[in-house]
Amino acid sequence: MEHIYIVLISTVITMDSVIFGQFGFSRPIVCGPIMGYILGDPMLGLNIGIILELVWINTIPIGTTLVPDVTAATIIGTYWAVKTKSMSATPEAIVVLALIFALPLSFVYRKSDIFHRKLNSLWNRRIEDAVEKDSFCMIGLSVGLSMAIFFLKNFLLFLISLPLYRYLFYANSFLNKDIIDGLVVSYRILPAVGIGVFLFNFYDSIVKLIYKKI
Amino acid sequence: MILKIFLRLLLSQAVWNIEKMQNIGFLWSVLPALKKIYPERNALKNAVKRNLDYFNTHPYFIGIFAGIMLLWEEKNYELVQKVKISYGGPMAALGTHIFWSTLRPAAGMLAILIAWLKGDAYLPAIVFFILYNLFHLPLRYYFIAESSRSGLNFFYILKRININKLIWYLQLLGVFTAFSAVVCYLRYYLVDDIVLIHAFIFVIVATAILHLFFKSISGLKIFYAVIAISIVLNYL
Repeated sequence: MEHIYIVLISTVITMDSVIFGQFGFSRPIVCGPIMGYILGDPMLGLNIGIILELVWINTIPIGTTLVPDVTAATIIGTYWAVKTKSMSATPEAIVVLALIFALPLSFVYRKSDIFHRKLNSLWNRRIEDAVEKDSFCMIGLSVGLSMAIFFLKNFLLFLISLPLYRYLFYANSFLNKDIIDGLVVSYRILPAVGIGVFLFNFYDSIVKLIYKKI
Repeated sequence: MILKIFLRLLLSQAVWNIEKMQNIGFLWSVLPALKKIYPERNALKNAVKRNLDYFNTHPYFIGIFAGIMLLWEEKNYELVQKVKISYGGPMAALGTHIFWSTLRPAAGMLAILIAWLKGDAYLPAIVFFILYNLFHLPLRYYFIAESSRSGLNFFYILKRININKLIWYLQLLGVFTAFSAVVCYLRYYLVDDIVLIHAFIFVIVATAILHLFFKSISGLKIFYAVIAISIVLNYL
């Protein structure tokens, strides 16, 4: 029952960026601590949120561009890291290990979003036919059903992907001390990547603006 | 009516489709207004068909088009369609630049600075959520309300506001916050490790320089590259 409850909340969070409102609670910096709170370790959720927020701070998933679904990656990464943190003395290594596997999986979510958007094109024909027959209810129905399909799709994906944390136990058993130490180092270095990307993008615009003023 | 459209427009992306993009979401949002404007069934049918055409813009700017429709649909529906087609794309680009390329990263960086400064799990999320929504939600409502009053003149109002200056201030805030975050991170988290401090600064500079040469390098590649290099260097 607890698993279903977590899957439900995860699914609702992912609806923010694509379906409803774009309020920003699907951003890693927000959904990481939310998942962490639900799972009993908000700091771990925040740390995962910070890494993903920073590395993908300027990524904008417009239309059908194929970029990782950072919301799904944050949710899966936090869930996996919380569930497996007991197996290692270094939770930092577990965080990086969880993200190494969660990020490729997040492409499945993004791919399914693109498929959902292709599927939505079918509503155009349906609505045109209904309007010809003097019926306008298909317009509202398309909104409701599209939301329901999106919800079901992500619900099923989370239902399948969250329990995969068990494989992290196997992955961890293959790692020696040097690799674990390397993962800890990368955990501490990864925020620098995001700051580098962020500074460059903003620096570029500011220099241009100052140059224009001069 | 404006509040009703505002609430419905929150779902404007719900039926986003690759063929005609936001057409259905927009149509559903303005349908109560269209029903009021066209009480006659055939006229409403034609209006619905018109609005099933291709339409796409930024979800935060979509209210402008709904407002213009409220004002002009009855007088000159052709004008409304022309505005949707000719202004939808440019407004999408402007919205992406203001909200998603500037406001969101700046608010995110501020939240990260608070996280590193305070070490609190919830405060960064709360700050980001409030700051981000406080900026765009009232604006989204204002866009509908004002454009339904001033119609096409709304674009002149937008033109008069110095948006570049607003973006510049937001970027300045972002850069200042990012530098503060770096100082805070080095001071509180890497204080004992000189090698890691050098590595951290090196990665910031290297990433920025990489972006000079490869504008489209993916975050995913950098993410895995940093992990791989960290492991290899740790072996050496």
